[in-house]
Amino acid sequence: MADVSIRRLGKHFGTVKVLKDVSLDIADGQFVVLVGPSGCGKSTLLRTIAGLEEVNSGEIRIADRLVNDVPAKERDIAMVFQSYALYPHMTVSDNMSFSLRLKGVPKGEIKEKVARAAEILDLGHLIDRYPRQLSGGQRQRVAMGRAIVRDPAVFLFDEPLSNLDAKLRVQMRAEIKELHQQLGTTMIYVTHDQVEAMTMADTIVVMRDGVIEQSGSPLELYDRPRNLFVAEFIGSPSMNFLKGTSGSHGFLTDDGVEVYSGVLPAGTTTFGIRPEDMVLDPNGLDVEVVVVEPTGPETHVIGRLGKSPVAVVIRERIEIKSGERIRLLPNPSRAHFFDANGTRLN
Amino acid sequence: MTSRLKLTTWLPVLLVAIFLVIQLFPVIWVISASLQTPEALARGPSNRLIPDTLYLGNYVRAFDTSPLLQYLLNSTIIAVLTIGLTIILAAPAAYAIEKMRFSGSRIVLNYFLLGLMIPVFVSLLPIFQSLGFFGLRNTYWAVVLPQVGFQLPVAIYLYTSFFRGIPNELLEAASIDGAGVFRTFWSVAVPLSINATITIVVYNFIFVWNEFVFANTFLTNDAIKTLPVGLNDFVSDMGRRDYGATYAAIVVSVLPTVALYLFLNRRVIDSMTAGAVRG
Repeated sequence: MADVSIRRLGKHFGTVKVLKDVSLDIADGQFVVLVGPSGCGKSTLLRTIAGLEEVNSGEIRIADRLVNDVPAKERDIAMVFQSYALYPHMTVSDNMSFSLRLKGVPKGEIKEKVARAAEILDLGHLIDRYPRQLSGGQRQRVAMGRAIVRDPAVFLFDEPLSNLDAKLRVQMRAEIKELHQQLGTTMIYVTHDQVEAMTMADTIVVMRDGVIEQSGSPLELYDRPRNLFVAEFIGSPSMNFLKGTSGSHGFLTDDGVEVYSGVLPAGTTTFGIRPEDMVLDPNGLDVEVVVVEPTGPETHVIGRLGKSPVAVVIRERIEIKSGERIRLLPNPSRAHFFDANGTRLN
Repeated sequence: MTSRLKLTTWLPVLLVAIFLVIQLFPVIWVISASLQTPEALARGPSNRLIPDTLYLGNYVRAFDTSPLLQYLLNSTIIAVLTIGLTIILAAPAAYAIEKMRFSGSRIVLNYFLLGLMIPVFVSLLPIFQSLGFFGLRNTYWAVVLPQVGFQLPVAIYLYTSFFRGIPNELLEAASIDGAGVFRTFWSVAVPLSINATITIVVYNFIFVWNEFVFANTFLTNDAIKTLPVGLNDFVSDMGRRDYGATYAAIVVSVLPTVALYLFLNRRVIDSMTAGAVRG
């Protein structure tokens, strides 16, 4: 186990700067999720930690050891790839034991470690099969098994669930989280799926254009996003944003609707409210229903407040149709205020 | 509609049948002729395609009156050395070009591919002089080394195309697992390229086995002559008198190529049709 420290890390491909002075501290045993849209640099950051990409500036330390120039195989890390990267010509057992054989670990010990990893991941009955004979979920487990047997200081996951169907993804998500609790090893996990990030992470790191926008616990990011980008990226459905002006008595949208009354920070130009932070109330704002999405436990409604689109999550089943009107009251204590630059004000 | 459907059904079959007859007729004719008695052969072109009896005397005379076995052995040694050396040189070179991506790797590949444009006859004299200088004339290496040189471009080209299909993540996984460059090549790339290797073996074997120009120019000692050169002797010394033995020798010379192709045929087709390697 080990902590990971990244200081002013820079990486460019040709003239394109992919990582711009990135600094991040990951404590020993933490489960950190790097999340962000495509091209934000999250995978590159992971690959530089793995040693698969050279860095152009800055420092990477694993367990206090500077590893900038240390080859991947000597960094004491294990990585699970998006495509699993299992060796097609080797059985499950051979795939899992490859690294140990290279290290010259005695056969008895290899057998023991592979058996233990297979037991943890419920792969015992598949040990003699080839990757082509396995399902997506089983391949994913073998890839994790290959990482586990090495007993590394840090686990790296590069979008490992992207190739799985929705149901399997939920199952594997829980398995990876359980694995982390079982092993207690530092894990760094890359995904573009914010739900994965929210459900798995101790710490979420939101990236955009090669910089870290915000890092913190999932609920911290959810409740107090530092800027509009994080506020929009974290949470599904996304936070509602209403543009307007702040007056002495409240916030008036560009359509002239007062959505908030009370004192608010000076310079507020955007009012944010999460879909679940609005409730049905006869004294609420007048919203035209456009689309209704019943999910079972709750009802998602996409509507229009003035000319602005709004999404609402109603925690009950309601009979409602497109074209009807409902009244929604935002919870003022859950409101978010942003200035013209998109920076949080409250 | 129905007539169109019929046309698309029987036309390809007809074309394949015509192609097969054109391809197979000479082979069947030579095999048939090698199994006919000298009397039947003496009747000339009017003799039957399917012989009355399976006469093996031609084969007995072919082996008795010429060092056919020695020619076979020489050709086999040269083929094994040439193909072995070609693969040993081409696979790592192609791996370095395709997967290690050093600066100028494309230029190196193009440099190798330039070799495809050099006609064999242009190179005969310089190679002849070089072999003389190194004292390699009338040795197996006199044929092996030039052939390796001429086979390398195609082999490297085939290997680079194949390695391109191996996902980089596999090689990265190996490097994280603790494998160095050579170990990654040997334990991951080589086993995955088995179909490419077989294709190169089959393709090269046909060329090397039938090679005549180098063998005829650089090997003048009867003891290390290859089959094609030996067959040439056969025709001039005995051809006019004993067609049966000549046909028998031709059949013997062709058999290894056919056997190898039939044995590895499936793998060759697989490698030609395979896309990227998937785990």
